[in-house]
Amino acid sequence: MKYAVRSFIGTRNIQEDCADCIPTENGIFAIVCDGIGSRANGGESSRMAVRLFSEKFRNEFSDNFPQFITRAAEYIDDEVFKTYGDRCGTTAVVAYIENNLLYWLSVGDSRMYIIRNGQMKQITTDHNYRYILDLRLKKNLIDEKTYNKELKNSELLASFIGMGCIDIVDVSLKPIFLKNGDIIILTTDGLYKPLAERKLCDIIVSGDDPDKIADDLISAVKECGGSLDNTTFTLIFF
Amino acid sequence: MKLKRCPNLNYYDGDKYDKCPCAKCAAQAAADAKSIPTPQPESKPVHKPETAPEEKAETKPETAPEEKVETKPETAPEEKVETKPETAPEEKVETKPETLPEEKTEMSNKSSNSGTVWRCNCGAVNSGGFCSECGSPKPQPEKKEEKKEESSLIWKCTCGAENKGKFCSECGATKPQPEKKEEKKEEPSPIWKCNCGAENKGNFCFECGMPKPSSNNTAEKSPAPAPQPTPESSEQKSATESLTQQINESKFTGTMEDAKKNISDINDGPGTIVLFDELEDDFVLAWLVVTNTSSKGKIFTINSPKSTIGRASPELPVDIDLHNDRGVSRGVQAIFVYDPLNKKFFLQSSGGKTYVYVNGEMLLTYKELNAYDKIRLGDTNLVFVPLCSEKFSW
Repeated sequence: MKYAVRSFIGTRNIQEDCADCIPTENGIFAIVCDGIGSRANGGESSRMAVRLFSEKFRNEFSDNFPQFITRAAEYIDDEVFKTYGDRCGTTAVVAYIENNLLYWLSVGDSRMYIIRNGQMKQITTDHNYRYILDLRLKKNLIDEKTYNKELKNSELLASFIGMGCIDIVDVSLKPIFLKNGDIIILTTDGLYKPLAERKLCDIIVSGDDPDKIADDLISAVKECGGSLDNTTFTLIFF
Repeated sequence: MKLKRCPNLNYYDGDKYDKCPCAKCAAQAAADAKSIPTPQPESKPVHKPETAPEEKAETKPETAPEEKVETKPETAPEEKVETKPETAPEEKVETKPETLPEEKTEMSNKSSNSGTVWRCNCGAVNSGGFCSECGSPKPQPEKKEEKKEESSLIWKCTCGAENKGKFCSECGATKPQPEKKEEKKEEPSPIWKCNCGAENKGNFCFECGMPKPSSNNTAEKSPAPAPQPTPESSEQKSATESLTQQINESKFTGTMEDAKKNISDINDGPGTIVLFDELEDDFVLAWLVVTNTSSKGKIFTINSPKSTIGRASPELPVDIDLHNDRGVSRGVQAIFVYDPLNKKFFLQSSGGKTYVYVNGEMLLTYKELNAYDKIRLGDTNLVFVPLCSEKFSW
């Protein structure tokens, strides 16, 4: 198993993303966090979350990853909220590979993809206002008119670490069975928003060296030009 | 005047007559004429039907049947007159060789080739360029092909009569359509080249009679097999589908409380996991509507005669979880009680750390609830909306 981590500040003044990878005997634990820029302590929130997730994994994890990571997320959310109050927040996407089993947890709009046979599939769901609107529309709580009216705020975060009580969470109840050649990518929105999914996939499957592909991805983001968000991602070649 | 003497010893004017005009000589000449094989009208239509299509194919391979019909009446009368003397013997040789004596065959060949002896329409037998009796010129042999055409137009009815027109002169039956017409209709008949070099459209070569090569037909009739999807693409598709299915089966998206509940359910054993299934099996008794905080507008349903409210933790579950309100302590803070006999609601304090207010008054023991009463727990304000009352109940 090979992996690569990259972080790119973009055109912002500060880097609010944070990431970490912990190789284990049978796999790897990886986390990517995106501090909320609109809040004063976004960068501190993401770094604190990464640090606490890594510490908890090293010190407390034994088995039953879904249960461990859910409790850990709740605890870290509480800790971040207690430390920084209302002026904080971070997304978090966590992956854990043990042998050929893939587990994950996500809060917020950072994503995890799996690439198999040249096809890229998004595993996580974005916890933004669009998700809330889709849910309400599906349950007939709102009508089409209200839905379309509210879509302008569709990218607002609806759930994150540090809100004091995580409202929405993505978690693997059962693992995904990985195959040789599968590629996992955990990324903040700085990568998937400027790059179309097809282009992202084409770059990722263009070789088998994660470091080179990671550099190519950063180059592709830079080529987009304009205002660029913080970009952080972790590539794992199974 | 030049006097000549005939074999019967009669004298005649040699300048005026080629032969003696006496009765004996005339009878003798008539007898000689009978021995010459002149074409009989009956012998013309003796053509075998097989030969007709070949001739048709040679001369008019592509003409429509209607055109053939139109040309019939025009050509037929001329041919009758002109082709009698020379074309018939050749046809006889071709069509009925076994019935004709060898001498006649030789003679006919001779006549057709040299053209020394011919019979005029007046009945006189001549060997020169003009009839000795009426002075008519010797018919030209170039009508051979027309004769063939004419003979090819003759058809034999099922009653046995041979005809040239569209209908049988004996029974009135219509002329059968040529086989080639049907062949044309049956298949577009693309042009194929025979081994002899002739280009044909039918199933047989009009030159040598060889059948159309079967391989061509097979190639034309059997279309190329449709491209089948490669096994790789189907495998890839199934692999992608199975991955999507696996993700959907593994993935949970929802509230943290539901996530924990699902995870604990999994720990208890395998079971069907339903995401966002908020449909309640129990009948609705009342609702609580959040009017402030980030959960503004959220609705909690009271569907149990005793429903607890507070902030849940893994160890302290509650029915109505104000999980977004950090001002609410963990565990049960109050209990909604429905009296089904009197159809009344009450809010009872559970003695928790969080203060509970009803319409601004602190709840220490219990208080009867009425429609649109305002309840406050921690930082959360709720409005009580009953369904069951004296006006309605389950």
